[in-house]
Amino acid sequence: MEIQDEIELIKQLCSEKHKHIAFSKLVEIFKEKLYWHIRYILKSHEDTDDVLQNTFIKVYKNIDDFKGDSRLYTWMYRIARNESITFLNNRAKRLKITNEELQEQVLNNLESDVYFEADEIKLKLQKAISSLPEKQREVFQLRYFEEMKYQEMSELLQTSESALKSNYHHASKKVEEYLKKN
Amino acid sequence: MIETKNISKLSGYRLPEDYLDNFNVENIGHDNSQSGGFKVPESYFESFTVTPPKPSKIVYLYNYKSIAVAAVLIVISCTMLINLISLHKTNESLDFSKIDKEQLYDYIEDELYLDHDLYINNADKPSPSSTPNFSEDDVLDYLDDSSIEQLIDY
Repeated sequence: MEIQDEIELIKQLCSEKHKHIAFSKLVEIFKEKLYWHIRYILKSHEDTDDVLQNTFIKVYKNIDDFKGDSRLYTWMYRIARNESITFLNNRAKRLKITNEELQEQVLNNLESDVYFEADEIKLKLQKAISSLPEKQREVFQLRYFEEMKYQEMSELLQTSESALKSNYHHASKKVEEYLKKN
Repeated sequence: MIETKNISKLSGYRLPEDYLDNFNVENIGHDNSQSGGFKVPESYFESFTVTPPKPSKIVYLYNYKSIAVAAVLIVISCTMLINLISLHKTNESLDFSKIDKEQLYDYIEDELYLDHDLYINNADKPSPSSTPNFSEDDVLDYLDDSSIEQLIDY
């Protein structure tokens, strides 16, 4: 989406008259990208669907507060990421388990998930990714699955590009080692 | 069968009706091999909609902003009141040395209905015990006859 189109869309979203139509347009443009962004964090389709809905509603409610300091999609990605992390933290708290234990539980559920290809290699890959430290896991998913550019990633995670490259390098090595060992 | 504007009529090629309207490329969405095995229910994205929340009709009488403003105003007015009272108190502190003697006499006289001469100037006056002795003749001169008779009767 070009910057000019983005500015126009934001203007429409902020006007009471065009808000509804502009919002439908926004959902059309970003639903798939945001879905995958959330899905890689949460892994379950049902949870992703819930969080995606919440993300869009939050965007709708807070669009007036968007100051234009970053690109619109970066701002939306940030909301999606925060919503996903909050969702996981709340679930862990409700189940009275740690986040690591929750990750393990999610991976175990993945084997019987109808919306996951029960492929041994893919399951192994997910396990390898889950074994990574939080930051490396995030960078690996953004780069490997979402093919996000380092520049965009830097804006989203507020980290320098060189640090992100280093994170990705280390993550890749660890995933490779995990797959070789197991 | 339809003819399209984009193809020369001379070519002879024609398209089935609504072919271009219904045209879509299968599997053009996210490649599952790259999605790490995650799948999405069929036509999930096509049917995905978000219903924007309707604006609430509830008017909150006590929102946080007004409570905060009210609290600040209360604190300010309380501080001002305390300062005012303490200032007033210091002004009113009694200092007898500053009171004018004349005013004090006037006050005692007016408010307590006392003759200040009796009390205040008493010190300067001779005590009754120290009054000069009158002679018997002076007393008799002073008293008239009737008075003397009355005294004798007693």
